Amino acid sequence: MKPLFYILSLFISIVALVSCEDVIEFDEDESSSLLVTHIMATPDSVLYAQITKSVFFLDITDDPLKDKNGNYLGVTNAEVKLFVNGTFKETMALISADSGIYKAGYIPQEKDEIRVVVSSPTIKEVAEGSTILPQKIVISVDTTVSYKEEMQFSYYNGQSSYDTIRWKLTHFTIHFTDNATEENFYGVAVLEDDIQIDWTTMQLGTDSVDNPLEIFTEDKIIFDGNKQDAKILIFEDDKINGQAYSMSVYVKEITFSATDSLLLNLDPTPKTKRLKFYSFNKDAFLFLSSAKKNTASSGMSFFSEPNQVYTNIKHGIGIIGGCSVAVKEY
Amino acid sequence: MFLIRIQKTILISYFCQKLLPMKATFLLFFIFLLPFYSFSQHYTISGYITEKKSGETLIGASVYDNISKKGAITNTYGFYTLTLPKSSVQLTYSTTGFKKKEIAFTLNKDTIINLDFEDNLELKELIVSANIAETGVRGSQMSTINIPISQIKSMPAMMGEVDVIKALQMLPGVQSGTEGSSGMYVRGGGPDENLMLLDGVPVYNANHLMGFFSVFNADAIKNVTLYKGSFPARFGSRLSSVIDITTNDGNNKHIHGNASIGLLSSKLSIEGPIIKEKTTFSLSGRRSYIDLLTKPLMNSYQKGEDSKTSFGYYFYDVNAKITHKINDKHRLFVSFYNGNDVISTGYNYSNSDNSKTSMDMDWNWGNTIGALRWNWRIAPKLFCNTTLNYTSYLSNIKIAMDGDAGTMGMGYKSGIEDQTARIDLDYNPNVYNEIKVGGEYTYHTFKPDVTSFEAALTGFDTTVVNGNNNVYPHEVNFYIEDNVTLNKYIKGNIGLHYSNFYVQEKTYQSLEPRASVRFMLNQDLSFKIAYCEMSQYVHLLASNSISLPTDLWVPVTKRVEPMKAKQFSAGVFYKLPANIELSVEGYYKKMDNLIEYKEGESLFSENGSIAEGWEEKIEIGQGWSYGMEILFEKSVGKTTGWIGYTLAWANRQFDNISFGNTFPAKYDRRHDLSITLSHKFSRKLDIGANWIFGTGTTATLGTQLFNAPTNLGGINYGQQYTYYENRNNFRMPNSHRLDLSVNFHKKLKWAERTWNISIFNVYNHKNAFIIFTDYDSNTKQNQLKQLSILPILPSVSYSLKF
Repeated sequence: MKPLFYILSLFISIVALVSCEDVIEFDEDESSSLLVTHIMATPDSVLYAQITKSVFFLDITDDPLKDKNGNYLGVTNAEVKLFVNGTFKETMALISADSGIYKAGYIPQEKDEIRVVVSSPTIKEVAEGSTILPQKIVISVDTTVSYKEEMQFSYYNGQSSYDTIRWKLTHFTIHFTDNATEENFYGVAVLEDDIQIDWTTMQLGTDSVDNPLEIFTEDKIIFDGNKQDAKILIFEDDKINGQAYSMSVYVKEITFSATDSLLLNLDPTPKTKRLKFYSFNKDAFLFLSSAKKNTASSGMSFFSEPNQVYTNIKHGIGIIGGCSVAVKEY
Repeated sequence: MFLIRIQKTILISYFCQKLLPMKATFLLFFIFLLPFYSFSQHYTISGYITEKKSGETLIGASVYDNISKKGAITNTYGFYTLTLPKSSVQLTYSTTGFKKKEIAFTLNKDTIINLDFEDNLELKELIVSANIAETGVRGSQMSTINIPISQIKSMPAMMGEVDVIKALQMLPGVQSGTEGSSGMYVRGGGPDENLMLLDGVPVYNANHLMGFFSVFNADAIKNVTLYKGSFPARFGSRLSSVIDITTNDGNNKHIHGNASIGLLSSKLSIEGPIIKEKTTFSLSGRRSYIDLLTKPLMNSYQKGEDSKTSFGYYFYDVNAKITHKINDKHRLFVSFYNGNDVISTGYNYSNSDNSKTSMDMDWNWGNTIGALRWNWRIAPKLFCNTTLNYTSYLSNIKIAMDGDAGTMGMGYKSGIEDQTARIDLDYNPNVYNEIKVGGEYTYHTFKPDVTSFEAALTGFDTTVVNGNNNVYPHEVNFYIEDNVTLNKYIKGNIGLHYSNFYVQEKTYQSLEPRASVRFMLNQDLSFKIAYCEMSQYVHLLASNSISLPTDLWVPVTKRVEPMKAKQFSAGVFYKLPANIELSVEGYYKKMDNLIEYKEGESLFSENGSIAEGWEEKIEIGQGWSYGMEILFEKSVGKTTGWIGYTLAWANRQFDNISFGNTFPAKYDRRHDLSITLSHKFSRKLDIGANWIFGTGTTATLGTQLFNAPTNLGGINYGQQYTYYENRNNFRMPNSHRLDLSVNFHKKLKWAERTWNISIFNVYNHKNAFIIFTDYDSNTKQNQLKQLSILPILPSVSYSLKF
């Protein structure tokens, strides 16, 4: 029930009917693309950078990966200069043209200051940004498994029914200690190998990808007991500063469903799960949390305030962030 | 004797400083200097100044003694008091638009002189005497403008509707929001930071038709004063401006009236004596009639149809006032205002199978104001005004549906009510000091929105009410101010305002110093500086885009503290030949505890409520604005008007908005130029012209889209995002328009008739109301477009003045 919203929408429609329109023109500077730089540097891991270009909002097409001329947005002629702790290290090399992926030979270490300067002959502005990598994080994880049955409404092949669904819940209790002397930002994700289904043949394919699962938590301290579910949970240390803390999350898998038994039979083998516990620096955290809010914005966009996605790139867009990852496999 | 008094004053101030804050001590120092001036014999001349034809009291009329070079002006009730030494006096009484009067006599006792002024239609010169006007080159007040209502009425008006607020928007430092709206953004402040007073009573929502017109019927108004800064201490509770509007008391000699018919609305005003020269009444009404046209047209168009739709909208205002003069010392006033906007829509369907469906929506919103006022001239030097008043703003929506399956109804209500008791004392102990002191108590009732739903359907019956409890804060204000003349060069208005607000078992209080000082550099040139602090205990929860009847007033809470402002201003004021005054003012204003909606937050909660959980939806931050205002003004003669230019910046900073970066305020507008001119050719013909130009206000527009990588560092983003450089990063196109009007007057046997022809937006410039994206199927391109809703609008109206 949203009477006010519909009434106000009616008013706006009436105004629109009696009004007249005029086009607002943009000059070349205002409409030209910016370099988009994405780097998530991890200590002791290969450093990749994705360099793409932005699309002027009026040039948007149906394919978000391509510009209005049908070209992929990856910038293949970028010069990506890498500086570590104030010293020039190398120019990163292009390894994937369509996606604009560049790779560095240098393996960053914890506490390194990474700075990149990105330029391209086809983009007017030179982008640059920097970040400091966080320290590595040490965790231990306990797992347990439980099962839960519930009735779920389903609609399949033109028929509706209430079916019994059985869930397998894998619970992870993550033990870690927060550093009291600095601001810390964390994330939790659970990924599994996922064999892709060929939807044309309805048969399993041969590719395996890291598939992030939906994870749930009702942590009473960090999230005030509010149920959370997301592909990656991110949080700050303000409520657990300096403490040795144990956080519980779980993932759900359907193990039985009357209507979906056909799909389940395709892959009865249990999959390897990887729990990844991230320690982000502030730049990475701000980017992830703002990107998440942007996605979750209210549908009443006329009356909503816009969500900005964080960037630490000057004269450009994107993020140079840092995170350390502790991985446990099950 | 003189030295002893000074020593005593200094000692008292020293001890006060130990006990009281500096702000209060500073003021008391001036008060205790008063006796210094009083050791020769003085007598007081006092009385009322009125207009001869109608008996209306005149505000700001002056009385000046040419021998002692001292003077005074009438207060809001037309009362003046002037204390002079026992000796000969040569008094000149004067005010703009009226013939001056001169009286000479020997002052040897307290004397009452009441005067009637006659019109002076041939007036060529401004003759308000030196040193006594409150505003202008010689006044102590700066950032204050008084516009004669006659000048407002001579300005071109949209759809012929003379509008006080639209006239104020033409002044430097005052900006309108969106095209055509009545919102006022004064020196970088928001629309809820303006205290609008109608006969001293606050008006909470001064808008009709979503802000295209204000609730103030110009025919009922006598005086309009705008304070943009250096607020006298008697005003409080808002940060950015005070608009003080006084209505007509009523003609105490004959019954007079004014009737007009225009394209949008008709008006009727009538005033006159109930008991001649003792009791008067004034009654004004205005009603629009869009509904009277739309309903029959729609009915005729849908004749014979199974389904019928109806739509009607109208607004009305009623102002009423009774003034009773008990005797020379006591006067009573009763005033009333009620105004509403009403939208009613309906849908009916019935067919030959007797199946019926109907839906009706009625939405009304408006203000009701009532005031009882008692003026008491306690002594020649002491005047008292006591007021009891009531003000409310309510918004009420009802939707009813009736069909074969049953009935359903939905409702929405919200509002605010205030009950206030106030006392003001004007004490003029001598010619050097005009002291005002007073206090008020207000009992607020905030009614946050309540939504209700009822259904009586086959097999389903329910009633649901969602809402928030009323809140009942108490507010107390005290003030003391002195308009003090130190010598012929220096005059100041110094004051202190104290406010106390109790809500949710929490008390907020504030001590606000106010000071404005004028230095005469020569006869026609002055320099002024001013400083003031203000507090505000209420917020308006509103969409950032347009003024809506659902805009909701809420009080501060335990978590959301009062807004505060400190403003410093300085300026030079110069009187040019031909009665032109030039002022150049600069200001800096710092605001704290401002609120803005969080990123991603909507005005509405999930169940449609505005008030529910509003504290969790907002961020608290700060703002600052600064700028320069230039005003050329000519207010007498055949040609009157002004040119106003503003160069201004208004910024905001919130820790959790735009990642803590500073961003421009919603209505930050860099340049604003307004020219308004009226010329009277003769008694039969006068014309008016307005031209306004403003650079664009702001909007938040993401002009670049970018992809986050599907997998970076093992994290799945997989999303296209819009990049916003900053909040309010985009500038709307510049706006400008020209309005013209012409009045043809003719004297009839029993009345004077006037035809007014006006054209709003003469060259049909498309000024942006909102912007949006659209797809052009011809060019196969997306476009950013602006929506303009006020094209060239000619109008004609006919009025009779009898």
